[in-house]
Amino acid sequence: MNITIRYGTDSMNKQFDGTPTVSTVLHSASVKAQLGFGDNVRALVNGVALDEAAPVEDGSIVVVETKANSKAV
Amino acid sequence: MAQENLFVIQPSGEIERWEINKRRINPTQAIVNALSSGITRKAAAVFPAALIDKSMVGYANLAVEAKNYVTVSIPVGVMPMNAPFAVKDNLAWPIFDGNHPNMKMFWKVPPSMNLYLSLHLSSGYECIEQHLVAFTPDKRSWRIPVSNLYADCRLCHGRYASISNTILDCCIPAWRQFCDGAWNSDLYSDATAQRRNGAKELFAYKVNNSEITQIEFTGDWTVHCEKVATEYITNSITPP
Repeated sequence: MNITIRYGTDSMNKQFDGTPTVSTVLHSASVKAQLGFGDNVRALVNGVALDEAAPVEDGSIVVVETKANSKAV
Repeated sequence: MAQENLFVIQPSGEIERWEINKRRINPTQAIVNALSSGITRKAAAVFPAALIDKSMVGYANLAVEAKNYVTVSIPVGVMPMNAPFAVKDNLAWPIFDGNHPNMKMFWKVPPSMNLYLSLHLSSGYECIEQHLVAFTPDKRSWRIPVSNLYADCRLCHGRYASISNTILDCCIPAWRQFCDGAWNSDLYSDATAQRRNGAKELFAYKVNNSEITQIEFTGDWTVHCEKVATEYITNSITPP
């Protein structure tokens, strides 16, 4: 399974064994290290935000974006 | 219905023939909006920032979304820093809490940082949100360690001015509000140690008996910021 992951202007391709979930992609240490994102993120495929349990199809482009935090005063 | 053949050379070198069936449809506006939501057109250097404030340098950039919402990004060369400051050992830095006195300072942005105040305007030129985003020359986007800034670089500076007639008319009160607004403790109570230390390193001032002067930051400022990316920043704020 080959997935493209994009975070801002940076992107990378990664091979996964089997069908990964969104959670697998977002918590992959190598993906996080290469693209430079932390835990406060979500994944979009074709502009739609996906649940962490959702499977990611082969050839998908997963766009990672920073989540807006709630207001903490 | 019409049919069209398209010959495509794939990056691998393989040549494909695509048989395309064309059919005219009449989608609802909601579907058009959904299909075109990711389409944004950008224009660089649309007007000089000096039209907003004579002290400003550089040019404003524009991005127009399919639904005619507009993002205008104003380059910030000197940022007003009206915030609670801590002073210790001839050093002053913004501490963004309610226990220290406010000081009205200015912060000169490092030369390698492209800082933009971006206004997201509805099709009726009403400012619906503002962002403050720093860019490295390679166009990566970063959240600077100030308060009043959400994780996605949206600003929290109170209500924005009402509807204006032109894009420039939107920018002038927004810039004034940005300059007059105070950086308080909002969105900072849960700031990480890295963020607090970043504020001390980036926004440091030297204090002596007669004056307070900025210690210009010359290192890699990104180590004191958080890398941030959203589709809105990428599509509408990142400089063309």
